[in-house]
Amino acid sequence: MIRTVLARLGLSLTAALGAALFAFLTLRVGPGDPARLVLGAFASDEAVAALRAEMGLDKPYVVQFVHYIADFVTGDWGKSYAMGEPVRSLLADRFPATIELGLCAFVIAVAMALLCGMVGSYARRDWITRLLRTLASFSIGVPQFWFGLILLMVGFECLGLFPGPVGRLGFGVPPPPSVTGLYTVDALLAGDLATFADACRHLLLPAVTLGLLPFGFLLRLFWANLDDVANEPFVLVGRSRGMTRWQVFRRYVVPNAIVPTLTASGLVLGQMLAGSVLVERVFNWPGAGALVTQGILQQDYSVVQTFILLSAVVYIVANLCVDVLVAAIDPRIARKDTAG
Amino acid sequence: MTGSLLEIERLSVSFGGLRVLDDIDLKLAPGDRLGLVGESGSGKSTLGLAILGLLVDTASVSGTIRFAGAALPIGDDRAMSAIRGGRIGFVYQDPMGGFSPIHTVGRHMHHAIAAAEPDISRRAARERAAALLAEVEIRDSAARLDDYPHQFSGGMLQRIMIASALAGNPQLLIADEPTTALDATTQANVLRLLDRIASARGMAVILITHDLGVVGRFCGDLAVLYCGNLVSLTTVARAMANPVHPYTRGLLDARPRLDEKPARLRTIGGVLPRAGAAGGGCAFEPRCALGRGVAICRNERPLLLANRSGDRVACHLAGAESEVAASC
Repeated sequence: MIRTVLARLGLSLTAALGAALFAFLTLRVGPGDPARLVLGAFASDEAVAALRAEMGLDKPYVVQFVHYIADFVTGDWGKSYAMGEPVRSLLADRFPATIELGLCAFVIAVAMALLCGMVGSYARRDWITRLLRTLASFSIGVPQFWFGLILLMVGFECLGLFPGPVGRLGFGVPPPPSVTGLYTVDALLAGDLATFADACRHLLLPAVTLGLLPFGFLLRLFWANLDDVANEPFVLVGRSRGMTRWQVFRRYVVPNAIVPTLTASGLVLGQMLAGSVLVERVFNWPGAGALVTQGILQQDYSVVQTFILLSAVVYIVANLCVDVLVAAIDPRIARKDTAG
Repeated sequence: MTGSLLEIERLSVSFGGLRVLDDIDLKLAPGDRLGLVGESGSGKSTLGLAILGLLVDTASVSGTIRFAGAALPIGDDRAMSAIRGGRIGFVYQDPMGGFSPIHTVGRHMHHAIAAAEPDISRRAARERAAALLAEVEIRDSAARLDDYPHQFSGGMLQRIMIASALAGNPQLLIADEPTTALDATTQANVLRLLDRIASARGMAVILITHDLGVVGRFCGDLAVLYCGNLVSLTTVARAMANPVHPYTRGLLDARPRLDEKPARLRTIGGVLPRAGAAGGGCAFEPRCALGRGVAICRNERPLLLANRSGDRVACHLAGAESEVAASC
């Protein structure tokens, strides 16, 4: 198992470096000059050149890249030219907010997909499967921002069950002492149940909105896997041993079908951590999405590069967890790694 | 007939209006070995699954199956679960596919044992599992319980499959082409093992196969299915010596032989008609060496009738057949 983890970790680090290189090059190959953007169209060429030198942009790409990686590892993430603030402090609140939203959406999507997939595959009543099939199609087809607005209209305006788009906490509720940066977790750590409940209430609607598409995707995938495995001979053999339909489903069908679904959900998680700009807009969620979009438009290298590397690291950690989980379920995978 | 272990009466199975099994009558005494033979699509696997009550939901089943004196609760899945495994065992043709790849052999054995005996302790179940593996000649059986299916060969897996089928001490074992997926040497070993175990346990076996050589070595009786109909039910010895039904004769002639070297294997011309496609006559008529074009064969369904030697044959020409056969 340790060898599996190490093997995957090595692969993951390579992937992270690749992501960093890609981000680095994309920003530099594109047209425009950050120094010119900062100083404005009327600055003298000498002033621009001086700023470029100060920013290190006059050095060869290789040197710039090595600096970028070295600085990232040591925690020096540079300064945002556009905002004049260290990237670290810019991302300090926003990155955890994005992570909290993404993780929560992910957990909801995976849990619901597993539940609905099992019900859909096991149920023999037509109306249940038809209902769930419709739900899956709806989840994949519906536009995210529209669904978010509808949730707000129903949950906030009509029923008043959920708070409006005011961010992570209600007005006048102070954030819990920061440990992880995730308000729900920090509130629990501080034993502050009222803040926890408030954070959850604020988190739920955006998380459901963000999780809808991956839910539909994972549901379809898991359902199809379950149906496939249900036709495997070992299911018939298990039944012939006197196991009930439910026993065979629980013992053989679900564990075998869950492996590819877990792998796919690891990929989905990466998407959720990076791609929540629309949802953050609709719910006024103070995440990194808006910051990064702005950073891309302004060629704010440090912000974008740091965010991409941070996302890559989170993505890698998440997928490493998935890989370990999969290897724990499927003995053939662990064996392949140790053999090779 | 109090002596019967299994009595099938007028069993019919259809899928969406297509009749796959048509009015099957079959009896089996305790310890009997019946070879169930037919081409692919003749309904032999369906018959096996029907006895186990494991046909898909869309199958409609009529008729009765009595097992050890009581009618099987065919429609009641929960009640059938108690009979499967405990009273009737099943061996599937593909040993590789017959095991969940992510569970150890010990888990499979435990599941089978616990299904037959829910109150058994983990420890006792493990001992039973090891003993069963030893019975099917898996060496070092206790240690190998922790291995996964992919760590065994096909022949070993098939023996383990047999072991798990024995978990509930069944009185009847339905083996659906148990040796088809194995190479010739392994086939012989598995058959020999099955033979020894069935004799030792006094267990009846229904061996589903299209290999008459396997039937000849293993079975006492031979039932031939053609297109969902039982066309012949005889002892293996009589069938081999003098096959009364022209289809049985065709199957026997189609076996490869060691003592002659024909340019190519003899076959029965034509293909099996689609299930339910047979008209009013004998389903085999279009392919039959004797009855092709004969009016009665084309128009009238032959009944499964006992002949002089006590065999049951469904053929209009069964009586005339020996003379015809002698003349060619």
